[in-house]
Amino acid sequence: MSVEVRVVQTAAEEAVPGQFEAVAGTLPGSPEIQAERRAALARFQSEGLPHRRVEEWKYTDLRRVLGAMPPPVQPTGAPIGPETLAELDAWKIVIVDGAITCWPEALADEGVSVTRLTDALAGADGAGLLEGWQAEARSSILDLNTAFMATGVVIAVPDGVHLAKPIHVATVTTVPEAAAVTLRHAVRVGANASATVIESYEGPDDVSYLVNTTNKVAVGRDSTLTWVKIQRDGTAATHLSTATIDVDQGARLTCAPITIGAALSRNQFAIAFDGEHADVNVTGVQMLGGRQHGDTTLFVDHALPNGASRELFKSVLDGRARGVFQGKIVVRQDAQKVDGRMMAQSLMLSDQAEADSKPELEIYADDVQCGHGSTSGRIDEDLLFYLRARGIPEVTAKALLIEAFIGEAVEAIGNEAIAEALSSLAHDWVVQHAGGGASNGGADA
Amino acid sequence: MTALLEIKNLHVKVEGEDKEILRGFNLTVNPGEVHAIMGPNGSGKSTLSYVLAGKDDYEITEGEVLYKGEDLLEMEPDERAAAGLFLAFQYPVEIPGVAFMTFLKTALNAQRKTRGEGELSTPDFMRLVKEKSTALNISQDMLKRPVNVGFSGGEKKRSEILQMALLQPELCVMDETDSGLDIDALRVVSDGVNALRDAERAMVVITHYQRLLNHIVPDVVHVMAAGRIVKTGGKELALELEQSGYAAFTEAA
Repeated sequence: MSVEVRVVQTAAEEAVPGQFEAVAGTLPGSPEIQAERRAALARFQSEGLPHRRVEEWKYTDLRRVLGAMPPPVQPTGAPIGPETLAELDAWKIVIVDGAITCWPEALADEGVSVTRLTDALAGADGAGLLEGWQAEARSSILDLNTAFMATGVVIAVPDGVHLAKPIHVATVTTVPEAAAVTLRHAVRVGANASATVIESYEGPDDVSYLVNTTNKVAVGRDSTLTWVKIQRDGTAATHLSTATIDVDQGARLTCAPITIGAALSRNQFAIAFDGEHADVNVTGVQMLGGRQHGDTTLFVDHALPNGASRELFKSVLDGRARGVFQGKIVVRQDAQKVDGRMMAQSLMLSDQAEADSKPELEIYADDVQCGHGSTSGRIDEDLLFYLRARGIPEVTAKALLIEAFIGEAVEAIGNEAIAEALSSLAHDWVVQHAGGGASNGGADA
Repeated sequence: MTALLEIKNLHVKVEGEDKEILRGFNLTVNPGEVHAIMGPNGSGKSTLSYVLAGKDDYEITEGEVLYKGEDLLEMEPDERAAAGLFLAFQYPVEIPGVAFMTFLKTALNAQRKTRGEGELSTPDFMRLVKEKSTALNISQDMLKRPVNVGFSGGEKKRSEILQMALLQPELCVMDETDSGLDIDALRVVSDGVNALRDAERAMVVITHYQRLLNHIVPDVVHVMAAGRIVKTGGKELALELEQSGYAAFTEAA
């Protein structure tokens, strides 16, 4: 990453050191961790917020758009549950305004260990949360997260454990005014094990709060992890998310980033193959309206032979929304017989919406099958007319077609209960947005 | 008695183009009647069916269309359907991702709702679909697929007739329903159509060939050429056309 002479700091950047000193004494972790926080803060100060002259941030210029940096949240622990996936039968962990309010004690009976970030950072294990992040996951946003990380969950599924019910980590924000929630999670699945982990995010409309969340994920040998992230933050919120994911030999990862909320969001995933014959399936959806800006940026690193990856990303864009999808697949020289396919599709509901799709393949091996595609289009008028000619009103007909468009990605998650819950969220979105030409979306705050 | 459908001096062109496709088209259809409209390619038959169903791409420059005495051209496509007008498409579209059963149920209940009737319960709906689909040789497998996806040409036409049988329209417009059908499929489709004939329901059967009219016997046959009806007669007119061809009429028009 290029280092340049920085003359002027933005107001958001300038606010950070003072905010850090104000809470430094209360942040969890051993002295080593505290030293890491300060080092991360120093890196953030020298580098500043990511901006458009950094290639992978060219569509999402945080330096320009993040007008202010909200101060760290004062944990309220308000007694409130998540609205998102409330009905889903799952082990629930609820984080309200940065405080854990619901904890699944009984998970221990299933052989799964869950640890609070505060405990993890105090112990010998703490350093493991900071080490081993892939280069493509590193940014000043990660540094900011390291400096301020206050809450989180470390989930460890030991060898041979198959968890039947998903674990749902719900982040609920209720703050009445701008505040920053900084989360650090980790998910470790041992060998021959399986689990489904869902993260959800929601919060009040019209409050410009910030969520900076990170996750360090490792899928062990011959294990299966389905990781779903549903972002429904409020209409004025900023949501920044970074994940580094390592996939071991013979492992299967399904990674499903779903973006519906926030005025501004960035999802950054770096996925690395640490063993052969692993299978990665990324299936994402973003549904944006108003002036929402959503960016999902994905790096897939085929370092070893015989891996397979599938990336399918669907965007539905209304109003003046801007949907960004960047996907980069790297196939290293030794990674023969890799099968990598990436497809990004956008459905434009308005003339003012914008889709930016940047698929990249970087292939150094000579015996691989890789491909990518990108499409964007409007609702097919012939299909719409056929449905209407059968008596289906225009809005309902559009809703059917939009839900069909994202259905392929939702079904690829491979979990019927989650697919059903997501379809219902999508349906609500569509009913709100499919109203017709003059729609401005729900996020025009 | 009010006619079910009255088309008076209808002039239509494709939006943005100069050439008129319908040029003074007149037709009156009463309840219980079956009208056949025959004509060569390019005579405007499909345009007529799309204009009746409410497709956007056309501009009506003159004339009017009354459906049960009301101005049909003022109604949205879904309102026309709910009011009892049904178009069996010449080329039914495939809709990936929309389950056929979901589509049928959504359509039926949307129409019932528009007419102020209650929604059909799922068991009642399933029973109805089973009854109608069995009669049309439509397999359970077809019903499980997305709308028309992977259907053969014949299956698509049977799918249209199934929809017609479920929705029970008062005016059925069938656009080249016989195209792409083999003899057996033609019989199944025709039987399905004939089962719907009654004193209240009228049909406009648009076709290029006479053979469909051996199965669906019309009360009136019209010959269409260059955007208007040039000759009207009984069912024997269809046979006459089969002998002599359309050439005489296209020259006259």
